[in-house]
Amino acid sequence: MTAELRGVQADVEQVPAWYHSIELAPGIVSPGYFDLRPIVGELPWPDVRGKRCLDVGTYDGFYAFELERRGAAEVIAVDVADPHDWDWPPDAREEGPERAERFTRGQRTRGFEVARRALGSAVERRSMTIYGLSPETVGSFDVVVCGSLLLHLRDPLRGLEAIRTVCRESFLSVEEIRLSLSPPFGRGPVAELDGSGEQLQWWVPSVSGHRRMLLSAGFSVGPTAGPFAVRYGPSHPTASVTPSGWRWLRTRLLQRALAGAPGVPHAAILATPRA
Amino acid sequence: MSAGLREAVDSNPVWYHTIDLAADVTTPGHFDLRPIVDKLPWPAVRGKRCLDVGTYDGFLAFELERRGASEVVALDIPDHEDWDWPAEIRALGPEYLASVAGPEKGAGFRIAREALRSSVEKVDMTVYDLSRERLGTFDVVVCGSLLLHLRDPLRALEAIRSVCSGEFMSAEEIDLRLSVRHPRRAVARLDGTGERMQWWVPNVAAHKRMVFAAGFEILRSIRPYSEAFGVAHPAHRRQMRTMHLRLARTLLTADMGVPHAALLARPRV
Repeated sequence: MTAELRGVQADVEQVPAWYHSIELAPGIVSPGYFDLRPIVGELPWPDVRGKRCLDVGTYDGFYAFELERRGAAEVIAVDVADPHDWDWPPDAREEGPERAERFTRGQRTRGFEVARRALGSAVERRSMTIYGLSPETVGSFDVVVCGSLLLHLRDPLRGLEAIRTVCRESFLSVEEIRLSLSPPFGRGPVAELDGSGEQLQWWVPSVSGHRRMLLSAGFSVGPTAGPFAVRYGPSHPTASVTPSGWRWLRTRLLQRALAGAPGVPHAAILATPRA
Repeated sequence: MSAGLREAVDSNPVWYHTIDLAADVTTPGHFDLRPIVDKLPWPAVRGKRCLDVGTYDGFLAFELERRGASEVVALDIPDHEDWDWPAEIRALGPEYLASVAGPEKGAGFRIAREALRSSVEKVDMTVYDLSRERLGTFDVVVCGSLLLHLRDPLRALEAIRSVCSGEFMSAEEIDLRLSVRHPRRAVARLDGTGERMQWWVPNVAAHKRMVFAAGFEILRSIRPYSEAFGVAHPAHRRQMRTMHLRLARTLLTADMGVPHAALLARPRV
């Protein structure tokens, strides 16, 4: 290993909690909660070459760096640095943000910074909630990407409407979906509500619920992909859980049968703003 | 007396609630809550300060007063520009919104209030803006058939909780099919398109989950019931065309109308 690679490896180990598994240098992959690498090629990407792009809810920046890799002229990545600004339910409003801060030891943006440096990336990161997106605050973008964010929003429709205001051409939406509410079990535009604050999850839609959300926010729906599984990375708690029980087996079987692999079921939609 | 009142009732082009204003004068509403009002899980309201959220013609507010509330405040938004329109409908412009919204919404309430010699106080405000600073707290809050018209029903319920010092009765439209298919899972159907301004229609479990997630505990609930169409509703005389739906409705609610669920809750946070 060269000195440079050893430096990258040391930086990677300094990050208290990685969310994304990202290949930062040959042979060096950040140990994330989620590994999007196996499915990134299956997504219905628009042509991003030479385009101004936005990644909403970037966390460690996986999609932002992917946009750059695919030839985007400019990439802005936004996320909320302070967990107090997340949509906590009232009973988790005090304890939730503290728990989130403990998890990252107050260094939520550290992974992004390490990755950006290791990749020699020019992605610009800004701290902003999805609700704050507007032509006045960030300008407008040819391509917007948002992944696994809507389920953490109390008002996902408002989030999508905000994206709509800054999106000129294409919007790639990759979101967790409920297999048990999607074909063949159900066809309606529905969502399951959590709202408990445990994992800060609100609405998880069915495949057609995801679609309906985009339609409602003023998009037309184009090519779709999925359901597919977003695999757990090495630092995800389930990676070390000993499997047991009928519920676990049923969940895994469902994931295998319908999403092709164990992981968090997702679906992707390439949408365009309606005139 | 009745002749003047009848004239006043006729002067209001759209009645939402069916309300008995005098022995021989009843408003021709879109919905008729009279058959189910006594089945609702009412808290004790005698001598209490009460709030009705989304009052429209005031049926529940007048009922609170009739049940002995010492003070009743009734909330609604007169300006349809403040409603949660889907982006695409809003983009069609103010004139279009006005044409969809129809005539002014406060006229029925005023006529009913005068006819009933009621002292309910009407406040123009959206549910989202409810706060202790603006209205104080209430021993009892009721809200009926409002959440489905809100893009963010959880935010609204939290605002209600912020002014509720006692009990909250919530009566909301539910999706029957989702309630039968998922008796324990909180699942809601999303509309979010078109002029009907409907967003999330929960199943019974999701209605409870929404109220719980907003910081309430559920004290009791009643089985789903049907809110009957009033004489003004286009569906008043229409038969259900889909048989299994008609069957489900008959089984669950023993009537035609809009399926609802109601519960009584109190703040837990």
